Amino acid sequence: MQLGSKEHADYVVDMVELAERYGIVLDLPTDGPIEIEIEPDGTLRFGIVGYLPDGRQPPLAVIEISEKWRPQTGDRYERSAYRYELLDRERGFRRAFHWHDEREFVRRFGVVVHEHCESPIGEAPCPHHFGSPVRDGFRAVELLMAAWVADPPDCTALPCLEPI
Amino acid sequence: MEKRYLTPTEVAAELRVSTDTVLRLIDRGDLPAIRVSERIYRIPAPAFARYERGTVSRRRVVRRQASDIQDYGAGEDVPAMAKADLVRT
Repeated sequence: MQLGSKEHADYVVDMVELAERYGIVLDLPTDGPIEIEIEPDGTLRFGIVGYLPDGRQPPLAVIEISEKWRPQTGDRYERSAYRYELLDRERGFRRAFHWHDEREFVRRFGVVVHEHCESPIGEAPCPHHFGSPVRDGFRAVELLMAAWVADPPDCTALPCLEPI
Repeated sequence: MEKRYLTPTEVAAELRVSTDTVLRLIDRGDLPAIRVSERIYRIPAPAFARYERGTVSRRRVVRRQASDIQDYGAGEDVPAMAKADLVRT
């Protein structure tokens, strides 16, 4: 997935808009700007934290959408890592979809991405679960919302990554 | 616990429109919904509340230089042994 500089900014704004349309209360000033950080090697990164209005004060369900985009030639960027998280403290579970440390995961498990599942939080039957790549941040918002409205997951039913 | 989602029929009753109208809103992307199966949708309750309140103003993006490189693998809540076993490149 590659985007130009301007397209990337639009992508981030559109994703935030989708999250807000889902009713997620973002940890951003009302109508304030979204901050994209540029790492020393030119990689773009952003992280959005949002609260799901579960009727609790403070909200007990939190999501996080973080991505990194590595610079390519000609003012283009390619998504190179992500971290999509749902922590539902009300019902005590965590679901996460991760892409990071790619070389290490390919070497050890033969996969690029993985998932996490803890129910209750802190108790994982497996450190890393098998997972499919998440297409983009829009899909991530939908996945996290779907996990939130669904029953707590049965983490033991998810396939565990085994070293190759 | 608050209700987490509504059915299209429940949304239709709230809005006093037909279920078909709600399905059209979903189809057009005006009302966010989760597709449970080919013909079944669920509307997250907060999404409906947001829809009732109106549109969201478009945000701006600002860029700023970061002094560090963030490690997405750090802080994974994995058992200590597994974490120690995972040597990062």
